[in-house]
Amino acid sequence: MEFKTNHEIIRRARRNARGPVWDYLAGGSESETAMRRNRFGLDSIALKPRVLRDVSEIDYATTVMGHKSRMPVFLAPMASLQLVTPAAAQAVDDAAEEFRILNMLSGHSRPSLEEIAMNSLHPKVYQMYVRGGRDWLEELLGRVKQNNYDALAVTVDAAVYSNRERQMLAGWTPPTRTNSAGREFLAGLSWDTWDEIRQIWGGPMILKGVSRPEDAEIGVQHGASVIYVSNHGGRQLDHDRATIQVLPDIVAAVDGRAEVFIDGGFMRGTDVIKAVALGAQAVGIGKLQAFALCAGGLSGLINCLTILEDEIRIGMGLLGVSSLDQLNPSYLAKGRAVNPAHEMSAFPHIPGGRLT
Amino acid sequence: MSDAIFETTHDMIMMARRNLDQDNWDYICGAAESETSLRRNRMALDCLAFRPRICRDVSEINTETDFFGHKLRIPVLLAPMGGIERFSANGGIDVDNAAEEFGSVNFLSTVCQPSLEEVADNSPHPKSFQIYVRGDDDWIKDLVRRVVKANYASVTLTVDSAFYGNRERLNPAQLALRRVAAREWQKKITWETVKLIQDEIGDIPLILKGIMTAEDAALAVEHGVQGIYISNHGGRQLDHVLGNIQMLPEVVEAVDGKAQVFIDGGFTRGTDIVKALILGAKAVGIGRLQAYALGAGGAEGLVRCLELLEREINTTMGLIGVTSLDELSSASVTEAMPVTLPHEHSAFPHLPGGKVG
Repeated sequence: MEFKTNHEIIRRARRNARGPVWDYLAGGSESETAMRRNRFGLDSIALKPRVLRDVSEIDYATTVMGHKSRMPVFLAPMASLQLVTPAAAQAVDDAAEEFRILNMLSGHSRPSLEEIAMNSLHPKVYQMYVRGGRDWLEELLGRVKQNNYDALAVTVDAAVYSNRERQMLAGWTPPTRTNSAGREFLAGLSWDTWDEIRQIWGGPMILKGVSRPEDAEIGVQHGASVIYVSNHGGRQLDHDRATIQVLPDIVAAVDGRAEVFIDGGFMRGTDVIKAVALGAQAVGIGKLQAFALCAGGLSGLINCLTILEDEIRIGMGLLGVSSLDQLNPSYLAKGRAVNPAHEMSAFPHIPGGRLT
Repeated sequence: MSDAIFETTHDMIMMARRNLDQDNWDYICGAAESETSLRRNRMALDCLAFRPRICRDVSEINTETDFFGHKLRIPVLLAPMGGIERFSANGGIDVDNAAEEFGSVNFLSTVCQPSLEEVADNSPHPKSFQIYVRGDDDWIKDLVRRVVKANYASVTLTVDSAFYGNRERLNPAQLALRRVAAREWQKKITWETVKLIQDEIGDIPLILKGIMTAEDAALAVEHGVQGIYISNHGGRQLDHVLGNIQMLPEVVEAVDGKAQVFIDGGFTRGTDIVKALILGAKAVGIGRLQAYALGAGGAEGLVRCLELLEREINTTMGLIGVTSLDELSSASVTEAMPVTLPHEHSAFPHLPGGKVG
């Protein structure tokens, strides 16, 4: 392994990223409050360790939508990965296969869903942005089905593209923004659209971008297999609450009728442990994934996942639990955040505290 | 008073920084992962304010207490520190000499130099031996028998170290050195291990170090443990736990006077020590502060550091309006907002640049 800590991965990513690409990866929307709240929310929870429990064997394997997963982590969908690493989403798919975790292919990334599927045997998810009507949906979902994707994630928090002011200040627009074809369909999404997609697709569906229990309840009633708690890494609605903060209410609303996924600022093994203790089935990594890809492509991502796995193992052992099903809210307490929250605040040894 | 080799703890930290190389400095200053646990220790102390009483005669202040019947000049213990020989040439002997001269109790770590017998032979004053489990039951029994034979006043079992926390300031070579295979034994310890040690030590008090919940404190009391040592290992093990002093009220309540409660984690000032005693701790361990003192001036530096702490404790008690430790009560503290961002040196605001890296 080239990198021993994610500090080094972030530093290398910064060196490798070209200009506005860094702004695209590291930034959030408007005041970046939602992005910071994600970290602040995680930092406001403390762990309560138990002692003298034999932790010589620790099992953090789980299932995600019925598929075995080496740890309760999956690779969140990320658009425009071709800006970050030449192999783009292919590197993500290869990393998921090698590491034996689930990945979600973004509908806004390269290469095509067919190319990704061609060399891929492991379970994976196709994430879609709705950018067309009935014909467009039938055509796209037919391709997704034909290529044996296991599930479909529908992103519902992107009705309008937010103001990401870092890239605006740099005078740069990402490819997904330039291509405005069918954007009005994202704005027009409703539960009717969801039902239409469900009828065409016929397989398991993930509702991505939920931050209220009311919507989780409707999602379950409309047949969602997974409620995916996300504020898009703080890149869409600014001033949203931290995803970890809304997780307990959503888990309570879902009440075991679907799996609950979450993402948003997860950088450390302890972060993942907190989400699982609050009832999440799995945690998505987005920014961390992008930093790792930018630092070293496929091998960078594998390296990063290995570090995260090590942190989960150490965190569980020191917490006094030896399997994920032992985790519950009794291991958590309200804690005080000890530093100003930002996209790198889980890494206090980054020179100057933050790379911009 | 010894010859004043430094006048304030600020000076002591600067002196230690000059004397120690970067690896040793990173080892002593650093903590696990995001260092949130370390910072929470300080922040929790910073979130307590005093409610001083006035017009009480405080011309005579008594800071004395005891450690299982042995006199302590101030309610401060020298916490066990692995690799203490990195900060002071004679390692555990320097700590022992300082404890003897000042009138404190020192904890000797399993993983420091020299041997437990050499430290025991060095002085007659009471000390505690701290155990890391590095072998099977026979290994534990052999070690404990040596400790008993050497007349240690108490035995301390560390229970928060099943894994070695990722200390990210350390360079990978340094970290690899610490991840020895024998550490694996530490993962297997249970309450059976506690019984095994109790059977060997008989009446010698046993302390469990690294308890962070009322539940485990209650279990320890049920198992006849005499000392409950609240610690998150200076934030060096599990990241993202609560600040240690936050745990004191629930642990003290669970223990209900059936054992002594000790604590460490970020304690660097007399005011910190007094806060812990107000909330029911019997005595407070110093770790980082001890290492800085040794780095600054060996045994002499450590005695001087304890003198400065004593002065601060005296001042604090006098200004609160109490003259002995048993007068301290929870009426003397209240919650407050912290005024600084916490870190390992945040109790020392005049360090150049705020933090010595």
